[in-house]
Amino acid sequence: MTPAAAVRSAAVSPSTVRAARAAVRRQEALAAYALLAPYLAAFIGFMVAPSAYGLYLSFTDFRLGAVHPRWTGLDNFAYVLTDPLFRTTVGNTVVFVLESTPALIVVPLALAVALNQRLPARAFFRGAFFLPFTLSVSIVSICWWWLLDPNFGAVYFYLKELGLHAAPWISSPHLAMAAVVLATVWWTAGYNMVLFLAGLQDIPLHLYEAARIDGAGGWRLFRSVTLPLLRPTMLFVIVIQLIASFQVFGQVYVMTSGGPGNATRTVIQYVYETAFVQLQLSEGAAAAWVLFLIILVFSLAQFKLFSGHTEY
Amino acid sequence: MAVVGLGRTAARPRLLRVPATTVLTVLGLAALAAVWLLPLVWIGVTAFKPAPEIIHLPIRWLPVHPTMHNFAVALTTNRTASIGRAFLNSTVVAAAETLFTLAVDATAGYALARLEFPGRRLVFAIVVASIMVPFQVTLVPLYLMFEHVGWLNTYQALVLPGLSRAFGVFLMRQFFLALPRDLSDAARIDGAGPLTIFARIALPLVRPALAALGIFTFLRSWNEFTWPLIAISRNDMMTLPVALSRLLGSFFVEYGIVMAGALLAALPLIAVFFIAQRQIIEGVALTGLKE
Amino acid sequence: MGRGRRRFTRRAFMQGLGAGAAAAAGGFRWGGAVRAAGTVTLSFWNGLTGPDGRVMEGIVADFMAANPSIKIEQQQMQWTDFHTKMLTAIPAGQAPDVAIMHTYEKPRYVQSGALTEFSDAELEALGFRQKDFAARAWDGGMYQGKRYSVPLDIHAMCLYINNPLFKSVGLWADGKPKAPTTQAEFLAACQTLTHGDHYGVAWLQRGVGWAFQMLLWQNGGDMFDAQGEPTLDSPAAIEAMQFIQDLNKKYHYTPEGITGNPAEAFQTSKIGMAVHGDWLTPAFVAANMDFTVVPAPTFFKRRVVWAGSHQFYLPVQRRPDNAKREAALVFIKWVSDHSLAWAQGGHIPARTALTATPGFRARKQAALLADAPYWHFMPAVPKILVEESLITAAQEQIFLGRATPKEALQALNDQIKRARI
Repeated sequence: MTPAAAVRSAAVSPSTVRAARAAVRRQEALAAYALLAPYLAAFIGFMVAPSAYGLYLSFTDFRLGAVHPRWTGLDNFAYVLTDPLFRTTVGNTVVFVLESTPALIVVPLALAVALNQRLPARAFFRGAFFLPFTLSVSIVSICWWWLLDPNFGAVYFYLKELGLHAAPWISSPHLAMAAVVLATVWWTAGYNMVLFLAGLQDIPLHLYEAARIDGAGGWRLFRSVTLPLLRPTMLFVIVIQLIASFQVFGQVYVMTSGGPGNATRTVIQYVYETAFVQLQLSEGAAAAWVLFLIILVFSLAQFKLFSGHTEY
Repeated sequence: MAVVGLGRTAARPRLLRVPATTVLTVLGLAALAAVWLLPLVWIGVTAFKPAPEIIHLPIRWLPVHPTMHNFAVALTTNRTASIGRAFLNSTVVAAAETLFTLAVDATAGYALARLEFPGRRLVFAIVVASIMVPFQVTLVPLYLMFEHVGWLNTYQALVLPGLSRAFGVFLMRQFFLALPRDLSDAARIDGAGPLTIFARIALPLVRPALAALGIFTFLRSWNEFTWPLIAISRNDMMTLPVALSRLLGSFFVEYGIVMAGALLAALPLIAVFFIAQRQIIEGVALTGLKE
Repeated sequence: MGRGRRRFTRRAFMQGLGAGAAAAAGGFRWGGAVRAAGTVTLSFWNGLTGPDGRVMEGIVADFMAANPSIKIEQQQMQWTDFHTKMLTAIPAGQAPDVAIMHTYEKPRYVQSGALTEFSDAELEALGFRQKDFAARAWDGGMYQGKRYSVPLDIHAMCLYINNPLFKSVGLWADGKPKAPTTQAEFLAACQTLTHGDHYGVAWLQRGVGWAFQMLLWQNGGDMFDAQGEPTLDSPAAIEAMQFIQDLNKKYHYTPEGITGNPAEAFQTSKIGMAVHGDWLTPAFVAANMDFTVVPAPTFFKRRVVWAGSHQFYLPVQRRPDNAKREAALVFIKWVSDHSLAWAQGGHIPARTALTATPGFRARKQAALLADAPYWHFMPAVPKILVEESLITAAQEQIFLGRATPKEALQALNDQIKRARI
């Protein structure tokens, strides 16, 4: 390097580099905003704005075709919270969540672990367990409702052939929810299975081999290698499943219409019926916000529970 | 074959290596899969049964007088949405929602993962938190908004709300984060701008993630029930889940027709799954789903 | 002023929509209505999802064959969905051109400003005159002195009898079943029919609400007071409900639990009798059942028979279209003229001339014409639709033993009172 060149470079570098860096940063920020813009437009337009609008509605006496909604304060929340039907539906929803979420973790996880091995006809099995998910919720519901019918359903018929007392599934309040859970597990277990299979494929094989050399096998392998390394997938599936379970609607709407005797009526059905059947839209919006707060509590508890253990 | 070989002794050492647990697993899975598939078989055989054979005790699995009548009715009925039309609607909606979701989620995910800009952490926090907002919070207001602009009974009413979901942005961000930094650094030194790096380098590398997100989005959209039930009131705009539920009567269910419709609706998806299942699972696996 | 304020607040939110909403106004639909020149397309909604819906499907097809210039796009959905769709679609400017409902929904719809009146000129064009129709059905088209609907049919509650089961227990004479007509006879028949896996009667789900209404009227009570508020916790109502419960819990004449789907249960031949509307007739015919339709018994002190009438309505349109309205009248007249075909759906034509024809007399439900003096329609009050959506759950609570008739009816009454309509 000539002395002159060295002087030149030393002279320009601090300010020029700073300016160049600022330009790059500006360019990068502009690019970032441009890339974010389409999503944020959708996010604000179809998530933030409607949520805020819904919150506003829930403080008014808005009616379809009504000329000017009045501000009614907490009146709609009082209406919802003092409605015995709302309390019933919250209870039912929590029961559904507590029954379906564990089943939709354990069953798919077991299937995924089994089908992650080298097995004959593995592709067929994966397909078989996933297959119900390709059906519409209406069909899943009507098919199970029929199979479980105490008078002419196949399940009832075969139980009786075997000389067993056939429980009147759908017509008993406790079993009706179990029937909805059963249909839901059958329908969506394959989806969660795929998520778990994906998680399992991320676990490096050498970890298993190392554990095997240490003498671990079967159950211990599962507990000491699979389960800990699957934790991120697990957290993800649980949260997604929890939120999906809280929003259960199609199954009960088609299968039981909320019956027998409100035993399977869920919160989203309450929101739907209040807002769109009875056309009390602002009360429906208020009920939805109450549900949101309930989900928030559940989800935060879930995060807290899991983040304490996550090793990633 | 393995089952037979298992009982033999030293004569067939290679077969011996098939562990008993594998055989048991396969047998267990086969039994479970048989039970799992029975309701589907029930749907299939019912679709071919004439009305008097459908509600019948004792139960007979195979139709005595098989008929195509149910399929004809499901395809041509003027009572409600035709299954063919609903199939078209579902395809258009699910395909459009998938394409748009991939576009907006990939760009947003990249920006949040790899670009520096003021407000990045805040935007990400808000977007991720929105995963917890249940759909029913936006149900009533979305209905009123779409009513106001006259968009009820349109494809955009069915497609647009789904684009606001944070799930895909989160997924894509995770995947972009996992890409090695050196690649983009090298490109930057060569003078490539952020948009060029995104389009030319990052995007091709996340193809499997896009495939997985695409499949998730397509299936979710395909099975969506609540929102189309509310946003659509016209036959010719109904998607399959709503159209099929409309085949159910208040007092009397014509199971044959419903099941025929169900079969017609499910066949293409079943075919796609069996052809593409490896890509689906690997695609999902590659996204990592990790923090 | 007030209107302006609301517009403003809503618009403020709309601007958040982004996506250039205004530019694309009108929306995008695949295809859309491709019309041949001179063809009018009518959307026609109804809640005829029972077997009668199939009959209407045939009538619509025949109409279009006979009137190539009018295309009917029919949409059938269950009644609850139907009212949900109607009451939201009409203010959204998506109303169907013509619809079939009953008589009792009028107050709720008129309250929402959803219905148009038939003018005298239009009635003239239809050629509909009072003397040609069953009086109750004709009068049911009026509300607050205005004609909002014209009748198609009358449907009534009846007693379905399973012939082989009646024969097998000796309830058969002179080639027909010995049908019960009083509570005592009904209970005796139930007792004879109930043995082993066979039961005397089933209260068919979703129809049991109407059966209860009939029993309530027969017992001298009513569902609403003069102000349109519910009186479903009255002693007469509790007694009627108690009777329904006793058939199960006290006498065990009905199967335990709740029958999933009504028609199928009767069809499997485990049940001797069913109390339900006449519209299930075609389903049992299609299933090759051997059955008889007779008038519903008098369970209490008064002879009252639950009945209703399907009527044609012309909902309010955002953009009224004379051509469509005229086509709708042509359609209504044609279906009314052909309502003998509609009788295949199990119903009784509202046109008295048609009920006298041999074609109608040969139908099973012709036996129900004798009940005409006792027909009682559901009360036309706004909250009747709330009652319709809640009664099934209340009754199921009772059947399941989770509530006494008194508790369940009290809760139902409170629930209907709460509704802000």
